[in-house]
Amino acid sequence: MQHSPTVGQVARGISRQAQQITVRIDGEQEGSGIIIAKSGNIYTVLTNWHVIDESGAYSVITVDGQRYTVDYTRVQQLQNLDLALVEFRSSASYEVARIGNSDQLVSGEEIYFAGYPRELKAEKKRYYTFQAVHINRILSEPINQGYAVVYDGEALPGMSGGPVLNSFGHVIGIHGEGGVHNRTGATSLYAIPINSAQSQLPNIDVAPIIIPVNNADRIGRPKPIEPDPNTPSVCSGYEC
Amino acid sequence: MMKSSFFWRLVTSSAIALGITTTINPPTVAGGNTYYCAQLNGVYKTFVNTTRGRIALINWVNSYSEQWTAQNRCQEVSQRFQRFLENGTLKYIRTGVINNQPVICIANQRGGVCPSNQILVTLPPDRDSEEVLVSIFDTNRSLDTGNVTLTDDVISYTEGETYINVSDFLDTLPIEEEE
Repeated sequence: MQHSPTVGQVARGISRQAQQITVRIDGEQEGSGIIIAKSGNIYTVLTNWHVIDESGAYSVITVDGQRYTVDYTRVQQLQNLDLALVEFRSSASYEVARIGNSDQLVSGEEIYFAGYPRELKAEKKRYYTFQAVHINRILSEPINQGYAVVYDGEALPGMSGGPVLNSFGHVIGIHGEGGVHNRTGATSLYAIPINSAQSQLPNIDVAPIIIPVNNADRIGRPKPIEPDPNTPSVCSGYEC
Repeated sequence: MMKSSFFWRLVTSSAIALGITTTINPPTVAGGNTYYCAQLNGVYKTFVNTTRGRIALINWVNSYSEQWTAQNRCQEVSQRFQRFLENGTLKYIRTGVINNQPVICIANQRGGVCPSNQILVTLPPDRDSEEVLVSIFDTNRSLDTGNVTLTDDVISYTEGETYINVSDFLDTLPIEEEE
């Protein structure tokens, strides 16, 4: 009997992984970001362009609470997407995101997003926050500079630029917009799928494509076995 | 939401009918926004002229004393807004405490204490400054802007104090229709 982890256990593991690669961005505007590459002692953070589009003083705060100043002259806006690359220097060792394949996403799939919301009145600090949600729809025509993955969840300002992850813990998108239906109050959250940015990202760690095992194929419908011409067939072409 | 949008529709239609009846301190500043006090349909208001059009920022209704009538407070606070705009400090409207009294002040960055030379209004000790801030500026009225980015919020908190980002807030407010 194989024990598979419960949904809660999966989410806990992904939250811990996501916390390592998620950074807080403070300054002129406040947002979140994802450590996506490391070269020597320079780390590259992917965030939304709208988090960093007002020039000024910004800092990146890593999981260990260290604060690193951003050299604004080196901020790079990505083409046609609400995304930007931000660098910080550190001799400390931080985890780098594994990048998943956003073309495999389907509606109904459980996904996860993380970030640092702006300070809530009673809490007096920005805290790491993680939500498990479901994909509602995938837009064939992205809106507002690349947003195409739509999911449910709570819209907290400050989480823009944080990672959206699949159930393998791989980053498949960047969280950044929200809309509330003006009559029903329904919330839709939006992410930019990572594949649309991949060609513009430096030295990223792309995870091998994982093909989920389809239980229907395995249990409900036995796979035909190709008959081996050298040995006599022992059953009628199916596993027995 | 419904209540405030109804209110705004009322204000705009009366603006069309009556126009601005009295303008105090006609402002002349080239470029950028201009803050001034004017009376519209019997109510003193702090207006802001922006590139989008004219916005009513505050309605002054109560008179607290002979010195601080609605008109005097409207004039004084509108002048302070214009002064803070011109000296480059008008980025946030925030709550704070000075001499154990709750205040609303202007700041150009978040955090720290309210600068004593940037006070907008001083409140009686028993007033909740956030509640006053939210009610003076009627922060719940806003345009339906569709999707929003999850970075900016008109109201935010730092070290337990409430901040309104002035330019973001003005962007959410409806303009008064032209006469």
